[in-house]
Amino acid sequence: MNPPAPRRRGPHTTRDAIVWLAAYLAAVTVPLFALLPGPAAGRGFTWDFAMALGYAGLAMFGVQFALTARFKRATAPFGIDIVYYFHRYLALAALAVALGHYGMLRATNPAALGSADPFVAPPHMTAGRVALVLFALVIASSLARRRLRIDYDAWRVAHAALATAAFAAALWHLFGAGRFLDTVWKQALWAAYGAFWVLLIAWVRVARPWRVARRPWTVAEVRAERGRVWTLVLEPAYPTEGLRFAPGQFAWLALRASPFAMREHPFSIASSAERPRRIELSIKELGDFTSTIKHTRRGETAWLDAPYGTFGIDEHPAAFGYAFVAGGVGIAPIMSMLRTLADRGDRRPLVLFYGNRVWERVAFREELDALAQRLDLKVVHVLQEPPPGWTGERGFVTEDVLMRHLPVTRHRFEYFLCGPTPMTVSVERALDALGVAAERVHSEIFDWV
Amino acid sequence: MTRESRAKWLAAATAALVIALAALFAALRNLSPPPRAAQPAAAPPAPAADAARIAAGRAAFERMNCAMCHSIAGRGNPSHPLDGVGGRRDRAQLRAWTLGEGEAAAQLGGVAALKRRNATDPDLEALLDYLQQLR
Repeated sequence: MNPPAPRRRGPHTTRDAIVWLAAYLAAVTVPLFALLPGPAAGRGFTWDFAMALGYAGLAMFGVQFALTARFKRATAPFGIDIVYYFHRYLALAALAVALGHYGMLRATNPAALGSADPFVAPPHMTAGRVALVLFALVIASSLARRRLRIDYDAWRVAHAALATAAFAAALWHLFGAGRFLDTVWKQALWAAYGAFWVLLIAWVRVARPWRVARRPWTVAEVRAERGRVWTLVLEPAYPTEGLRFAPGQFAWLALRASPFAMREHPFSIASSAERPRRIELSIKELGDFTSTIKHTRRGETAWLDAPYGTFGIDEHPAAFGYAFVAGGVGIAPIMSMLRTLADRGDRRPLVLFYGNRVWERVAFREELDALAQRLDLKVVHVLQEPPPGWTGERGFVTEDVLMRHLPVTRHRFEYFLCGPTPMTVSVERALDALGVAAERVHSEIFDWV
Repeated sequence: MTRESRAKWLAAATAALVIALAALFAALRNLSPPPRAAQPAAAPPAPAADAARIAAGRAAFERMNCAMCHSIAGRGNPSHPLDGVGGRRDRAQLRAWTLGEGEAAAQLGGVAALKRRNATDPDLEALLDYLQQLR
């Protein structure tokens, strides 16, 4: 079986974004408005508003599962980073809405909440309170994972488990307390709605890993690069033409852990999209998992859930030229783009700004020299601690550095940024100051939770 | 604007729209004022119950968390108002509804089981007195 083909498409349009936002609002509010017709009269604005916030909050939390379900179509118009940011901020919004549901009742009609004592209160009311606490816990542990030093793999498992438990408790509360579910068809509608999210969780945690498990890859080589970067070379161990991907996309890698174990890690593909049977992931030693890459042996099995992401040149095929800004190992997806362009014999103007601390640790610097011969590529190294006699750029990739090396046609280039967040943020600002339209600037997230 | 702050604003705007739509839902449900509860027909006269008993009944109403599902004079869950219930139900019916028995049990569904707990409450009769004088 062949892996899914990447979607090669033109620039995303505002229309796409509006369609998806409308779909979000519909997913959250249509099941609510379906409750409108019926025999029961209004119970006062405040009461009904508080109830509506409860239904909407639950639906918002339901959509949270969909946002990270790795649906390729849904992430396409925005880019995976926006979808993950959206997941983060909508979680806060959903918690606010759910707290509004509780808080409005607490403030205006506390008697209706009854006793909070779980031995006295009906179970479905306790379930509602438990859901609120669990959702708050899920969000707090995600926003503060680094500060609390929670291990990433442990966090992922706990995040999925806690979120599922919180959602189940919220559904229990809804079916126990949901006074709007006063007819059989309304109950059926919301039961189906709840079942949909439960099935979605099953898909993400069972069906998708199963598909990934059936397509194993073999480690063909582990290559040391400069700067404590290790390149993992993978070849398919199942009959396939290879992994068709667009340069700049990323893969979820499971190594020494089954795809079911929820111990996958996302890495940009660094190899050329024109060589689909030899996939290379270049990984810097940064954390627990990334430090184990160097111990990987030839012949070990790896699993790839790929490709994902919309960061890349093939999303903008008609560009006049491309500019890349990489910080450290942020070079990986950019290597894929440059290698692909070279394999395709592309002659368009290219500029690469490549920030590193010291010259000896500049990964792929020899290959970049070679690529500069095959492509119309200008490589601008920017070093924080340049060696004696260095005549190139020093410090960070600032507006001045960009200005010095970008051609006058810079307004017609597409820009790809990948590196630590402070770098991408400051380069985005600098490009804005240089008059580059925001739609032409694309960045890949580098460190997430 | 960075991509993160763009996503932040997008999420905030989306949440605001959701809240606005929830408010619209509530407004649409309350376009017409709720119909007045049917005027009680000639109800059987309530047995004389002294003020202390009624106060005890009111206290039991609070203690048993009846307001989670019922409202009286705007306090509690407006889904099932008990204003004037003493005029609509006789004492036997009030007892059946309070304990989830008989015909009431069928209409209450799962809640009936919850209400059966009330049977052993020492203030049950006081509660019924309290409900019966609601007219």
